[in-house]
This record gives sequence, C-alpha cells and structure tokens, in this order.
Amino acid sequence: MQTAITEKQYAHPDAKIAESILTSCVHCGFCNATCPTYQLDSVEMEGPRGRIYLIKSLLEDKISHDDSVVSHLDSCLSCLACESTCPSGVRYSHLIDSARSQIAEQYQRAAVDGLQRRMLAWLLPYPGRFRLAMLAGRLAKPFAFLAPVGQQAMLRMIPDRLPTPSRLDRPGVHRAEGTRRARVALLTGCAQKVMGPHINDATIRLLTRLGCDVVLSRDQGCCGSLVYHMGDHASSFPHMRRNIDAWHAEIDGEGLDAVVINTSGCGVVVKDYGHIFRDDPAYAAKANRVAAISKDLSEVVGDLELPAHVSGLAPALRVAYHDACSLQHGQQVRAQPRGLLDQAGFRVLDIPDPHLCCGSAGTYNLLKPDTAEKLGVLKAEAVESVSPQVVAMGNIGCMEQIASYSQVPVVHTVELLDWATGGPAPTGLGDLTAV
Amino acid sequence: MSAEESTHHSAPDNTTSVQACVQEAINDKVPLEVVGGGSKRFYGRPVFASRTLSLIKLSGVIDYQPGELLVVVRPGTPLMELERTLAESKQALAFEPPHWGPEATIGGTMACNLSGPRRVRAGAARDHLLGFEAVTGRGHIVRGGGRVVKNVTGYDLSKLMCGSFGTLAVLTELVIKVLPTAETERTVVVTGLDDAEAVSLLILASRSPHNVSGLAHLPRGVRAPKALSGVTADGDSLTLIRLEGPGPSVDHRARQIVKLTARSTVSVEQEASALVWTALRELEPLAIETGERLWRVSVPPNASAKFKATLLNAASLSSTEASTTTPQVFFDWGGGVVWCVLPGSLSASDVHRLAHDAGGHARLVRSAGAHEGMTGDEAVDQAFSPLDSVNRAVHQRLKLAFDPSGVLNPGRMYAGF
Amino acid sequence: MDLPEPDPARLAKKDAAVKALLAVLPRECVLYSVEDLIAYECDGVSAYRQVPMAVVLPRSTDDVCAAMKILHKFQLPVVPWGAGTGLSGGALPLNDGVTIVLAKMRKILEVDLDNGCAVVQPGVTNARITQAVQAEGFYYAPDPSSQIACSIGGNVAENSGGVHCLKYGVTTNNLLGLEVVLADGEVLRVGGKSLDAPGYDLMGLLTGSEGLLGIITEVTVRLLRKPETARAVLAVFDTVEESGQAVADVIAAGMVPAGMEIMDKLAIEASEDYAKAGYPVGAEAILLIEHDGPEVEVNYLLERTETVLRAAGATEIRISSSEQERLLLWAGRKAAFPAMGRLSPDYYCMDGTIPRGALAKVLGKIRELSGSYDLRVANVFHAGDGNLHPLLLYDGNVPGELEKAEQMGAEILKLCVDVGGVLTGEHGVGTEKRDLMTYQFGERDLDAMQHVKCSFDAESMLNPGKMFPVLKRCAEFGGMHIHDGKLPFPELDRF
Repeated sequence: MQTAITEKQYAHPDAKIAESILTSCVHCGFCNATCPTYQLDSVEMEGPRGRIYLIKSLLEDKISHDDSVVSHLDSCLSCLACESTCPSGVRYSHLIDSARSQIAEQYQRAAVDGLQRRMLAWLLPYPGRFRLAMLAGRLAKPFAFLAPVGQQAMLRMIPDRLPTPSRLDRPGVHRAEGTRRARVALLTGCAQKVMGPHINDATIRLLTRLGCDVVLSRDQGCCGSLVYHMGDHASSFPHMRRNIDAWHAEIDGEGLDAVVINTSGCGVVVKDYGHIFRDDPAYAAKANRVAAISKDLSEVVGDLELPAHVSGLAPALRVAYHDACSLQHGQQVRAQPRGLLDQAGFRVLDIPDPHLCCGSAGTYNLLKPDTAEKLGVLKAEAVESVSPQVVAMGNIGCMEQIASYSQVPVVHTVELLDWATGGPAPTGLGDLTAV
Repeated sequence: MSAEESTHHSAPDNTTSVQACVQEAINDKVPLEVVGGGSKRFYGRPVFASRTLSLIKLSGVIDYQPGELLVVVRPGTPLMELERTLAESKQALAFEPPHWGPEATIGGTMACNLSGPRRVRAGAARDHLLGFEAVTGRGHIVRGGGRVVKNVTGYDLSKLMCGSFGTLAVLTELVIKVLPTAETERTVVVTGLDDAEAVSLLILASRSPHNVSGLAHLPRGVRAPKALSGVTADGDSLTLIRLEGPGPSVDHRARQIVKLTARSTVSVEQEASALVWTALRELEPLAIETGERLWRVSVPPNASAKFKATLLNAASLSSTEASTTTPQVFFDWGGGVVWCVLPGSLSASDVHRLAHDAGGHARLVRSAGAHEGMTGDEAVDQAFSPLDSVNRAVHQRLKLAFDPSGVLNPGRMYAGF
Repeated sequence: MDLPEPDPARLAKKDAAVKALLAVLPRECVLYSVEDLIAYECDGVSAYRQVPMAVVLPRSTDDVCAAMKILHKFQLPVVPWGAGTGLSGGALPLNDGVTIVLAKMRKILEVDLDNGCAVVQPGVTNARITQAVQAEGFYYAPDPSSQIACSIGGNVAENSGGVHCLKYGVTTNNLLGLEVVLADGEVLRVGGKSLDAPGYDLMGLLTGSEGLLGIITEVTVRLLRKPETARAVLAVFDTVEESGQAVADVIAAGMVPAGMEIMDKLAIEASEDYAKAGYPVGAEAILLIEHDGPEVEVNYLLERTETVLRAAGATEIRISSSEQERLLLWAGRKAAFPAMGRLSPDYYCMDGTIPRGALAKVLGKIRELSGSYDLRVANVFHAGDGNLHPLLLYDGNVPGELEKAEQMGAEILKLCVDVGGVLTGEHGVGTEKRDLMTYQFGERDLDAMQHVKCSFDAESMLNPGKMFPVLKRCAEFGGMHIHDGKLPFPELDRF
C-alpha cells in the first residue's frame, strides 16, 4: 500500500521497518480468513488487515492512540496465522511488535491494566519470584471469586500442586550417552521451570540419549518474549542480551550445533534475535549467529533422527497433535513433530481448524481472559472431536490453556518422544501408560 | 376486440423495421402481440391486441463460431433449423429446449425460458443467453451482455429478457452459448417404483458423482415413450436416469448407477435413448382432453412425491361426477418439475396454493379448449403464480420502465402489466 | 480517479442518524469515530480511499431493515460491504454515506443435500460453504482465488467467477434463491429451493448488480457433488498464438475441460522464481488444462487432450498422475499474483474478457503498450472463457506511476472492447471501470440499465457512483446525451 509516514513518526527507530512492511501489504484481506479474533468478531480492526491499517494510520498521524485503537491492537494474539496465509509475505509480527512498543511509550493505560502488566513483567521472567508468587497465589485461589474478573483468570491458572523443581535443570553440561553426535545449548526458560519442569527433564534425557551434549549455561534464562510482546522492549533487552552472550560464548568456546528451544513461544523470539538487535552495533553480529543456530526441539530431533526401532516401547496411543501458533506460524514447523510422533509408534491425529490459536498466546489469556476463554473452548471442542487419548504440543502456554478447557490428558511432544525412546511414562496419563 | 379494428400483422425482417413497428404502436397507442412462430400462444395469458408483431422473418444465423462455443442468431430462426446447424459441428443447445410445435423459434424459447430434461445438469435457457439486442417498449434499440461467457459489465439484462415473455422488449438478436454434444448416451430404466421410491432414487442418483444428465419418473398410467415399447412392460411405472459422455465413461457410470438402484434394470442407448428424452421433453406422455389443464409445477425435488399426493387428493375432492379420470402426472428434473394434467374442476388458486405450500410455484401451460381471445377461463387468467406485494411492485416498475405505454404483450403474464 | 466532494447537508445529518441507529442497534454494531472508521476507508483497492460517515454491522436481516429504514428516512447514501476484498472498488465508501458491513451475518442456516442446496447468510466466506459440505462429498463450485476471504454476498453482488467456471458456470448459474433488502427497507425474496421462480428473473438481475439494487441478506446456493478425481496437463508452446489455437482445438474435439489457463513469458518467469514449481523459464507460453469427473472419464479425456496438444505443436507435455503432481502443476499458476508482489512494490490486476480467438492480437498490443508506457506486464489468461488478467507492475511511491498504470489499464480495457469483448469478466465495474462504461455501451444501453435501477432504487440511495459514470435521476430520465463516449458538461462534479 501507499504509505505516507509523517516526519515526526519517522523519528522512531522502528519507522523504517514498519514502512517497508506496510508497503508490502496489498490490502487483499486474505489474512482475515485465518485470524481467530476476526472469526469471533468480524470487525475489520479485529483482523490483521485492519490492524495493519490502524498502525499505518497511526504512523501517518491520521489517528492517535485512543482507547479503541489500543484495544484492537491489544486484542491481537500475535498468533501469526496471518503470516502463514499472506500471499505477499507481510512480516506482521515485526509490525505489531513495533506498534506495541509505541503504545507502551505513548499510551497511558488504565491503572489496573497497567499494574497487571507491570506485575507480570516483574514476576514471569524470574523463576524464583514466580515460584514464590505461585505458592502465595495458591492460598488465595479459593477466594478467586472475590477478585476482579481480570485477576480471576490469573488465579485460576495457578495449579493446586506446584511441581517440584527439576534436579537436571542446573547449570552445567549433560553428557551424551554413547558417541557424541552434537553439542547443543538448551534454553530452560522461566515460567516453564516453575510450571513444567518435567518438560526440561524429558528434553535433557531425550537429547543425551540421542547423542547430544546438552549445555545449560548459567546465564541463560528468560528469552524476553513475554515482556517484549507487551511492548516493553527496553526491559526485555537485558534478558535477551544475557542469553546471546551466554550462547555466543559457547559458540566461540567449545562450539554449538544448535540452541534448542522446547517452548515454541520462546523459539519465535530467539530466532528473531538477529532482527531485534539489527541496529545494535555491539550485539548485531552475535545475535545473528545465535539466531542462525536456534531451533525448535522437534527440528533438532528430526535432524538427529530417532533410533530405528522405537515403536513398541510405548503403546500406540491416539495422540491428537495441537499446533502451537508460535510453532506452526511463527516458525513454520508443522511436519517434524508429527513425523516424529508417528515414527515413535503413536497414532497421530489432526485437529480440525488447526490454524486457530488456543487462546494462550503468552500472557494473552491473563490479560484478555474473555477472548481467551472463547478460543479455549473452541480448541477443546476441536481436540475432543477426534476422540484422542492424549493431546500433544510443543509449548507450555498451550498446555496450560488446553488443560483448563479439556479433559483430555495434555503432554508436551518431548515427553512422548522421551517415553518412546526409553524414558519414563509421562505423569498424568494413568492407565494409558500400560503397554 | 372491437368490430371496426382489423387485425394488423407485421413481420419485419430487420431490427430497424421492428423498431418502426414498435414506435408506430406507441404513437398509435395500440398494443402489440409479439410472437415468434406462435407455438407458445397457449402458454400463459392471452394478449388482446389488434396488431401482431411476428419475428418469423427476422431469422437466420448471423455468426457461428464453434471454437468460441457461441452462436449469434436472429430470434425468428426456427429451433429445428438452429439445432440442425449446431449438430453439423457436433454441438447443441445443452438445455435441450422443448419445441411443442414445428414452428418453435429460438426467440420464443428464450422469451419463455423453456428448458428440457438436461436442465438438471446443464442449466436452464437463461444460463445460456450471453447477450442480446432488443427493441424496448419505448422503441429504443438496446444491447445487453456480450459475445463472451465471462461478463460482469453492468446489470445482467440477458437474465431479465429471458423468461419475460416479450413484455419488456422485442428480441432482435441473441448470443447463445453452445456446447459439444456427447459421444454416447444411455438411459437406465427401473420399473415398478412408486412415486416416493422413484423420487428417492432420482435424488440418490443426483447426489452421486456419476454426472447424470436426465432424471425422470413416469408413474403408472402415464403413457410410456414409444422408444421403450418392447423394452418395458406396458403400464409399469418407469424411472429413467440418463448418462452421457465418452463411451468408456458411460459404460462405467451406467454400471455404477445400476448398482445404486439395487434393482433390476434395462437400458436403452443412443438413438433409442435420445428418443425417450425427446418424448419427455415434448410432454408426449401426457394427453390432454377438453376441459383439462396442463400445469407445470416447480418444487424442491424432495417435496415432489408428497406434492403429487396432495394434488391428487385436491383433484378428487374437487371433481364432479363427470370427470373420473385420474390426473396424469410425471416428474422431471429429479423431481424438480412436476408436469400434471388436472381436471378443470381444480381451481387455479388451489393449484397455486398447493404449489406454494410445497415450497414452489405453478404455471398453467395449456388449458384445453381455450384459444386466443377467449375470456372467462379463470385458470388462464391466473396462469402465472401470484407474486407477493414487494415482488409485484418491482415487476410493475420494471414493466413501466421498459414499456411505459404498455404496448408489448400486455397482460401476457399478469393482469395489469 | 476523481473522488467526489462530500455534501455538507448530508454530513450535517451525521449525529442525528447515528443516534437513530444506536436506538435500534447495539453499540458495537454502529461505528462513527474516525479511529473506528478508518480501517473501512478502502476495499481491496487501497489506491482509492474515502472514510465513511458511519459503519453499520448488522447481525440479521431485521437489523439491515431497521438500518435501511432509518437511512432512507435521512436520505443518506448506503454502500454495502461483504468482506471488502473486491478488486474494482465496489465497496469504496462515500464520505457522506454509510457503509453497511455484512461480515457479522456469517451463519450457515441450512444444508439440504437432497435438494442440492445450502442457505447461508451473506457474510459466510465462499470457502466455508464448501468446507461445511465437503465431508459429505459436496462443494460450491464457483471458486474465485480470494475464496478463503471473500463473502458469498459479495460473490453474488459481483457475479464472481473462478478457475472452473467454463465447466461449472459463474455465481449466477449456481444460485437458487436470494433475500434482498431494498433501498426503502422492504424485503424482497426471489427463488428458494425450487429450480426456478415465478415472474421475471429478478435473481438473475440482482446477481452482478454490485450493490446498486439491494443489500443481499440471504443466499440459497446450489451444491454439486465433488468430482471423483481431477488430473492436469501442462503444455509448453513456442508462441502464444499456438497456445490459443490449442485451446480452440481442444474445444473442437468436443471437450470442455474444468479449467484452462495460459500464462505468458513474464508470468512464467515470475511464478517460477517464487514457487519453484518447475515451470519452463524462457518459454513463450504455457497452457494448463484440468479435467475432472469420474476417473474413467478423466483418464479418457486426458489421453485425447494429449493427442490434441501434440498435434497443436506443444514442445513439452507434462501430465499429473497423482493428486500431489496435479497440485504441483498448479503451484506456479497459483503463485502468479503473489509472485508479482515480489517483483514489484505494486501491481495492478486488470480484468477484461475477449473472444478467445483475439488472444494473440491483444497480447501483441499489450506488449506494445508496455513498451510505450514503460511498465512491465505479465499476462494470465483464463483460456477457457476468454477472461484476461494483465498484471501491470508499478511502484506507487513513485509520483505519477499509479496514474500511468491506470491510464495503461484503461487502454487495455478499451482494447478488449474493440476486439469484441467486454470491460470486466469477474471483478466488476465498481469505481475502477465506471468511466469506461460509455466506451462499451451506447446511450440506450445505459438507459436500459437505468430502467432497472429506477425499478429497484428510484432515489439512487444504494452505492451511487459505482458502475455508471453519470448519476441520472429517475424523474428526469432520458435527458442526457452522450456523443462519442464523451460526457457533456465535463466541469460538473462527477462521481
């Protein structure tokens, strides 16, 4: 589209990128076809085409950041289904990220909304704090109904029993079993360490079993995506830089074949570190090197290949595979997890409307619980419609969300692959684990 | 008709003359009866006009390009002649229009939107009119549509012309889509089914991927087409399914259809099959006695069997001692059209009501014993299904816009316009 | 393209009209602040933009009637909008008008496979109809390439086509009924589940009427059984003439394929670069033919087609023998439009129809124009029905280039008419080709269309300024004369 960004707006560091993205959009509207919020609302501004247009209009100073505009941009899940659908290759993710940072800078949020966001940014990236908060929150849970609606969702997400922290998840190197075929770093994340430590455990077991040295750098931690996606880029950079430094040191040190990420929500952002630090002379090159070798767990395992005779170690369960948006759209990874599960002897089932987000979307289900609920219910119905015994996915956010709305046992893809290659059966599957 | 006025008959052979004729009628404030070959006069309401504008001399193929799948033709061209011309290039009017008389013209066919059995697969006449030239009731020569299949330039006036019975404009040129004829055809015949079973089967066949191009049912008591005598027992009901296409394909698909029927079947092929469908197209199975009426009722296919039952019930309730014959009814278009010969005792408003209740509409095709100019036949008066008020208002405005003086076939479809 | 000045008298009614609308519709169904309106300022043609005075998003036919009655009372013009994906500016708003968006009416009301139809609301997307019935083996045949996003209501308004329309017809050949709200808020129902309707073919008239005769609020579509199988063949030719002749030969051999597409050299190169489907770069023309139907028939037809293509001079022939191969053969063709987007910042997709036999001549002239305008053109041609899509590549951020592309486009469309074709085969006239209508139609032809308009919308409330270059008033009908395609009083405010 023709774009006329004003001089004033050009001053913003993201303006040039935004302009080139806006130019690539031809306003065809195909993106609306796969946008979850557009499906729910059918208002132009609740779809990517309309949001792109709002961002364009903001940069052209035709409109200002009023409540309505911010609300439409806030309600975007950043699921990136639009990027998958767009025939013109519009990089919507970068555009919405730039818009969010502008909102964070220029828009005065309502007190409760602002407080909630600041609290999430203060808690989630820090496992220690987060764990304490979860424990405290557990006490408050019975009184959830007293809380304002917005906070009820958060309280409901707190599990009744917090998992024990992982013993494997400590700085150091886990050696490969047998011949070493690769040396990889693992992002152990933040919320995942508290809410799903078993995922990292299964990951480490699987990778070492397949012949990887798995490096857990002391300084790696939160990937920065939660805070970044809320628009507070400045606060996210220290997390990202720490990761870049840690892994770059390994690259330059003993070398790394890959940086492995088992939470696709983090994977998207880590793969984007190169773009994020493009204008930072100190980090641009390092970020690019790190991003270039960053891979989702399923890609790495796919490259390493599962041993030939894995099927039979675990029962041939009916496994519905849920495509996390950050994996299918953000990273365009769809075939590998399915292929691996199939190879491992599971009966892989596709879920109807797989392109639709489950409603987790990072902190979305905490900030926009109503929409998240609508999407969660739809996703649960879709999952249940194929009568699976288990539903597997590659992102902890989706796991929490789908577990809230469906009775089907939820696991991470890596747990099933770990089990099928000799690891323990995933917890929570009960009778299904009998071979 | 006043005794002093003599019948004035024009048969122009070019568009300008047609225009002059219409202009004259406007100036003289005298209505025109517009006809082609006159073969459809019995169809619809009569026109009371002292002047006739016949298109019979506005005849001939103007341009025929088999490779472009279209023919440009004058409206007065006899249907038989046009079909012969197309057949020479192994093409045809895919909607297989009925003739109902040797004088049938292509103009009349389009004006009445007449389509035959293959309508289920190929579409109706209106789906094949790509463009036209016509003289409106204002005496203006207008062109609509074009000589191409894909055309969304302006309103689709061709659709308005087709089926308007000459009440809005006099067609002077037609651009018609043509299609190649099939290499082979075969008709699978099942005997002895009752109406409900037959319609069920026809629906099953239409829902199949076997591309059936004819779906008809002749109940017991309806005269079988001559081409089937010797093939099927006399008096049996006949359910007919036609398949067309390349030989190997028809063989295969016919076998599938036979399987679908789950009954014993017989088949007829090529000329014999063609004759069967020609007979149906020409309504040969139905014989109309004086006092009876031929109705054409368009209903959703799955409502057709039940509709016939309600019709028979109403007919017998309305019958006087004199009429003891059972109404003859046959189904075409998979049940989508029900042709019926009903006793004169069954009123038009009853037929319209029953058709409406079945989700469709009725049209009187012929009232035996009626001829031009005869008044008093209330059925003929209500030949066309009544329109609701919004529809009627739009119809009236269209008539007023195209023919403000009311010179073209006034009352041909509805009283008052 | 000159867009009109808004009428201050109409603008002055905004507050009162919005208040009246809010009295009958929920808040979220009435938009009236610029922040809420700006995303509706253009449809699929972003070069033309007008912020509407208000946007109404009805949820039902009753909502549409209520809104129309109010707007009729206020005498405010109305622009209907389905999904806003049209390519002729048909849903471009009016600064002093109200846009009615049908997107919230997206229910599939009924699927009736025995009667081969479905009843749907206008906001249902084309692809969703097929999706709803495909498990039973049915589909809705007209398939415009925007089908995942475009609305069936919009399809009806534009009489949309698609790749397969040679064999299966366009929208108007695949409808059984419509419900329409007229300018005064009255509801008109035409057709239903029976195969035809009494009286004049109003359904045929409404289809392709581009929002000028009524607002479509319900559609009964015809459903077809999905063909058993489909196979495709790609043939390479040394000249475009030969590929066009090959098409004529296929038809002369008595075959009507499901789809026939020709791509010229630049289109092939650009698509191959983007999709890597294995298209022969450097070839002057390729012809893609698809047959569908029962397997026995498809195989038979493909063999016959291959014979015809060889005889017609194809230098290379590839036939699909699996569904995957078929999709691969099509991959390049499907990538043609997005591929242009990567060759050039902007492209202008033209849409004209010509007699098939005129293809070579028209392409030759387009090449000449491309040279004199200094704008590259790639051509994609629905060979089956003569619908040509020249894609003009330009850069909208270079001053004057959009105007150049528009001028060149207009010359191409005139050329289509000159060789016996028409201005638009699929996209509609809308805003884009409005001023060329006098090139194709004479005064009386346009009068006849005006008769139709006056019969449905005497006050010209619906979508004024689309399709026709001059707003005639029904009362003073017939006053304007047009000579040589030129309009009198050119200084008058045009829309």
